[in-house]
Amino acid sequence: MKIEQFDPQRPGDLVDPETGWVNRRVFVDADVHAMELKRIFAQTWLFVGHESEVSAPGDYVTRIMGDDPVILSHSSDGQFRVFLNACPHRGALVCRADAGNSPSFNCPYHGWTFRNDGHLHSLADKPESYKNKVDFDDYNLVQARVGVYAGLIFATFNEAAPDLETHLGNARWYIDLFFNRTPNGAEVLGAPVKWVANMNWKYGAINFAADGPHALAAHGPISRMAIDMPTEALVEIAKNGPAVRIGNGHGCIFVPGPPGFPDWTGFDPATVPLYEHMLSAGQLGQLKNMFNGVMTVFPNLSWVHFPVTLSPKKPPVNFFNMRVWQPTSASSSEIWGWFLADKESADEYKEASLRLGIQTFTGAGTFDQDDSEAWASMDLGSRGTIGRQRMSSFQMILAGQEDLLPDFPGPGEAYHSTYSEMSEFGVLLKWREMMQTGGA
Amino acid sequence: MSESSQRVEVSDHDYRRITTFVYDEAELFEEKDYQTWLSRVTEDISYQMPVRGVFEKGQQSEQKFQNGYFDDDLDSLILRTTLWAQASTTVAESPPSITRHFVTNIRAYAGEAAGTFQVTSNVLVFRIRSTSSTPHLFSCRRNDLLREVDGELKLAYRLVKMDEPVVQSPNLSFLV
Repeated sequence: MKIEQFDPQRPGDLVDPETGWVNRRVFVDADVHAMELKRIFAQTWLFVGHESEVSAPGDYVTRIMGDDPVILSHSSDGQFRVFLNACPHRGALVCRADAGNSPSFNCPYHGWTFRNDGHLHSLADKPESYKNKVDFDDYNLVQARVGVYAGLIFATFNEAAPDLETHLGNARWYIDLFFNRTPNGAEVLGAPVKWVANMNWKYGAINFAADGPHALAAHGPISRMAIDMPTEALVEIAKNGPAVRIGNGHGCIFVPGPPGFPDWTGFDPATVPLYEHMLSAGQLGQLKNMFNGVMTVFPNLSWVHFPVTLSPKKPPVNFFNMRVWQPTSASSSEIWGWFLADKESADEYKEASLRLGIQTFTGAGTFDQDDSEAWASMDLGSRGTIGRQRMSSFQMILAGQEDLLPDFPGPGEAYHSTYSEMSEFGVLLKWREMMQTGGA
Repeated sequence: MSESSQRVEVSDHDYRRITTFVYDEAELFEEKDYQTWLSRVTEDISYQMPVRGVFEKGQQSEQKFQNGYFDDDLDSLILRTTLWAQASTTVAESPPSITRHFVTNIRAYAGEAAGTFQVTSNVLVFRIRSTSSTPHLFSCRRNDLLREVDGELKLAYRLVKMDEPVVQSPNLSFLV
């Protein structure tokens, strides 16, 4: 396939679904990036926050959807609403804080104010000054469609997008394993950390969809220390962990514990009995022997969950890191990272889980610090005039696609190994489809 | 100035000892001599760097759980620095990043417990990573607790109040 010569209007051709070759322009080209913002980020559902971040009426957080600033507001009438963070008058931000609680948002330029349900409340002058020549219904904050699943709040400005349930589809079975396994669900532990990575957002989304072999190459020594398993055992479980191409670009992997690994290692013993009320037998079976679970919801929401300890004196505890890959430019992303726990867990468990998460999966994390250099290296090696003409390889799919697991309990297509590149490449197949057709 | 009111200044002799400790520490960080640095912390050390945010006045609510970049004890500091100090154990520090630590505004007061000192300082770290020759400047304020142990000063607690709400660097594989 000659993907060196592509139609700029059909950048999806840069991904070859048959061979697993991907032209590196996909990851470094500014024109491709600009088109992604239109054809993907402005078209499909994007994660904007978790219910527990805005639990009280009046609570708000400011977020980014693609390259647009938005406000997630728990309005005084009890609804979760998402607004373009721009005054309808001249476009200034009406909220410039990360989070807070307020009945209204105020434009810093002319002082226009908006209720936290988005309605225009007051202008610089009296409305009568416009002499009835203006329809003030056009002057409310622009509202996105909002959908909530398992406490995860998504939004889109695309009126034509299929509903959130359709977008998530089979991913809901897997989301439930993490966010919906107790009656009260999950809660965030504090505000997100935010840091800049020198890479295209898709490196992150693909890595979390997820990439098995990098775990040993980029994180070998820390993995051995924090997980207390010899390298051979880690390779073995990663090679035999299922990779699920869930559909719609969503993907995940499950690395099971090695033989003799106790069920529910690292989980909170106090909340595990609650899982039986919420999960099916198939889901419970998948979760109880899960050593490592990593997932991406297309396009840019991911999470990772596994037991670690950084002290020989303390038993491993699960941390649960959720993150968004904000597409800042072709070669730059902001990573926003949260930690979560089952709401019913005691504070002591939550604190231990959060501490281990901070020590491993943040900008200073003993795992993340390595990924960020590997990803920056991919960007540097791919962005040159010659470099961008080369291909990135996902050709392990040619072998991996033959190993479909017939008895996997979850929906979608489960393949034998996290080394197969099958679930990772699924992200790019959805990307290809949306970039080709110009939308959802 | 509120944090310095009601506080007891230390003697010139102790101030000299404290600044020497702080400047020595900065050099150890620059030289990546973490082994020596670890000999200058207490066994119960807590090293924290919570997340920074932007809020309207009076709107920064007390969070029950505090996310951040560091929340370390001695074990995790040993693990981290062991990874950084040895060649090829981290992608992040192989090749090692280049750092220069500028420490200013050092103030020292008697701690609540005998033989302890509360020390505050501002730190600017100039850092070059292997994949970027453009420096990242990391700015912060430190609230430290130093404790006398067998006649030597040791770091018992450090709260790093970072100044960037969004860290403009892919990683923070260094200490301040």
